Amino acid sequence: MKVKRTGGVAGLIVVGTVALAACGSDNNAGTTSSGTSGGTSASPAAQVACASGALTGAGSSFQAPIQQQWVKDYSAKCAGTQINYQSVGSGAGVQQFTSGTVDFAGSDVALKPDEQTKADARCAAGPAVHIPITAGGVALEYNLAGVKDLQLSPATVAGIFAGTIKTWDAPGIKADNPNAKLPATPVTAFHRSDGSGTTQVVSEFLDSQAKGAWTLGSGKEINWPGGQGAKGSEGVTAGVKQTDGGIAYSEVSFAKANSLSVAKVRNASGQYAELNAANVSKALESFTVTGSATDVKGTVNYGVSSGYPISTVTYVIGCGKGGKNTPLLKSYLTYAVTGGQAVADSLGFAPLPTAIADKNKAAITAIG
Amino acid sequence: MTALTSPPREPTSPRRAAVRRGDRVFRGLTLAAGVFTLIVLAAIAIFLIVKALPALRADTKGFLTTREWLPDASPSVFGIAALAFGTLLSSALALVIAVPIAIGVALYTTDYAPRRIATVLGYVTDMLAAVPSVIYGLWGLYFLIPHLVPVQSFLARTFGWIPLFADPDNRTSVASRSIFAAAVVLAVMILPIISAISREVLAQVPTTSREAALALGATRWEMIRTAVLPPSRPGLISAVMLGLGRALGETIAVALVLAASFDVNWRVLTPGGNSIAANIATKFGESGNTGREALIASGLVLFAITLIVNLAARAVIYRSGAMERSAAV
Repeated sequence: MKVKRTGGVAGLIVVGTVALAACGSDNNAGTTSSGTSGGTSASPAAQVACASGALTGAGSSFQAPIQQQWVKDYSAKCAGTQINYQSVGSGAGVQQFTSGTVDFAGSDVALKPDEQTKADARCAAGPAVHIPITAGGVALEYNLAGVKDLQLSPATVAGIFAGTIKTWDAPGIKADNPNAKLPATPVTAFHRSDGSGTTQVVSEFLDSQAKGAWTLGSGKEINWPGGQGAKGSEGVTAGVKQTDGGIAYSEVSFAKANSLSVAKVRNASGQYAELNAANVSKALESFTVTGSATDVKGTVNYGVSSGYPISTVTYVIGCGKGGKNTPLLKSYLTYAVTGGQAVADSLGFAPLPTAIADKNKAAITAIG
Repeated sequence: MTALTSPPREPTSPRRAAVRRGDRVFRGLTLAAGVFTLIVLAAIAIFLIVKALPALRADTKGFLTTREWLPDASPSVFGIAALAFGTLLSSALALVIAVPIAIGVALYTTDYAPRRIATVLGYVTDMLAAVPSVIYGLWGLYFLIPHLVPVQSFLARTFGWIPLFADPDNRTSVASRSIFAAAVVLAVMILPIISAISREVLAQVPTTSREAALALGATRWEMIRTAVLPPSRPGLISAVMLGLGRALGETIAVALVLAASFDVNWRVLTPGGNSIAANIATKFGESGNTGREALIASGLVLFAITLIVNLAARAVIYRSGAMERSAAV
């Protein structure tokens, strides 16, 4: 009996050491990479009011590239800080924030009422607040031999992803592209098989702008009647690349990295808008804040008359009052929404329009 | 969980009757190891059941028959019909592909190959087992799927009259993320497990049995059929079951390869299909509360399927073992 207990304790010690070692090496790796490479790419803009300590965030993989860039640049300016953003997905990020294991969450969607209640309870002294941290457009990337400047209306996009448009020379696509020579290649639409904020944005856009053609509702997951699923943006992009006649929605960075063409999308004024940072920022000028002066959550208007219509913001969610590591959170977020916006374009995001940026600054100042 | 045949027990003849302290310590340690395994298994089962219950209560349609997965929608709708079907179909197909090759490799190394080649071949197959599954997934996604196009369209054209290979909409003409593609990846993954264990099992057959068969005038194939395979059967079944266990539970490779649809699709060449483990991997990150519990509920089903498969394998081994013994008498 005695022996058995010793064995158990020994086992625990081994497990404990391994776990500690894992954490340690992880942290070390984080500091070294930000320390060595941060200096070169730090953006010159804006003074940073440094704070010290450690800060952890987790959530949206959509905003992960820009978060990682900010962490690198911020650490280069403010020595002795340790910031870590884990790209675990919006849902998991919100859950980690609610359970108190991270200081802030990254989420592509605002908290639902029941999530808000739980998040408020975590913050104890004050409500959890939203800060729209950056903006981005969702690209419709395609692979169609001989067609370079594809233009799509919301109803056509709906038909393609709902499976009602089956070939590339279908009347709907022809109507959008009167001058293009469209082949009879079958349409292979790729959608995300994993739950995704990108799916939510596209389905919300179609739900509001392609009424009648889109009957599948909106959400992070859709009950797709056809097409092919693939895991992650890298999965759908691989599918499009392998398939003549393939089309998918994803972050624009994936289309660029794989040299896939990106379609122009028709906005509410009938103009086919290209996906670029300027058009995304323009579209988000009609973002309406539904929160308060301290909580900048709002609704995206997809029926924009100018700009790229499938544009959205992605949030950081933190504690308005009663959070941990508040000075560093405030300092980091201030950097992100001011000087940090300069890196947005190069990473496939778009700088926030001034209206949102001003509200953000006020809300971040109010955190305390 | 493993179902290896235990080696025949030596008759116990302790040199000294007195139980030494070292013996007691060692006995305690092994007992603790055994009990620990049971506790872990029970803890997993309890965890799954406790976490799955709220989702099963929140479900508005039949959990076992629904072919949709929208647990976070309101009303919450999800079911494992398509997932369990895809899991079983892809694993079964993987076995069909892998088992003949694996046992062939094992027989070649034990009974045909020159010693040096056998050793090298053994190392190489074992090395396949050391490749991480995400590598298999990436290989499947970026290499296998595009290169499988001619194979899949050939199968569809030639054997399209068999419902399993039917492709009425000509969807195999482009890269198709099908159950078949997933099964090929799974087959490569389980090949080393099955062949390594089969090799050990076949090597256990005493050389005297082989020599006796040859001395009686048997050809090499007859020798294998009469003297090598029958006594190895329980061990070979164990090997196959271990492979099946891995195929059933394989997560990331399948998640990367399959087109993740939620229908019960018998057409193994057309895009579609899904598996329980792959669905958990893809959906977990963005799941809400109900979504997470629903995924755990599906994990419970996978746990049950794996247990049933293992118990069935045990029963088969026990029965064939009993047959061997009665034949020997």
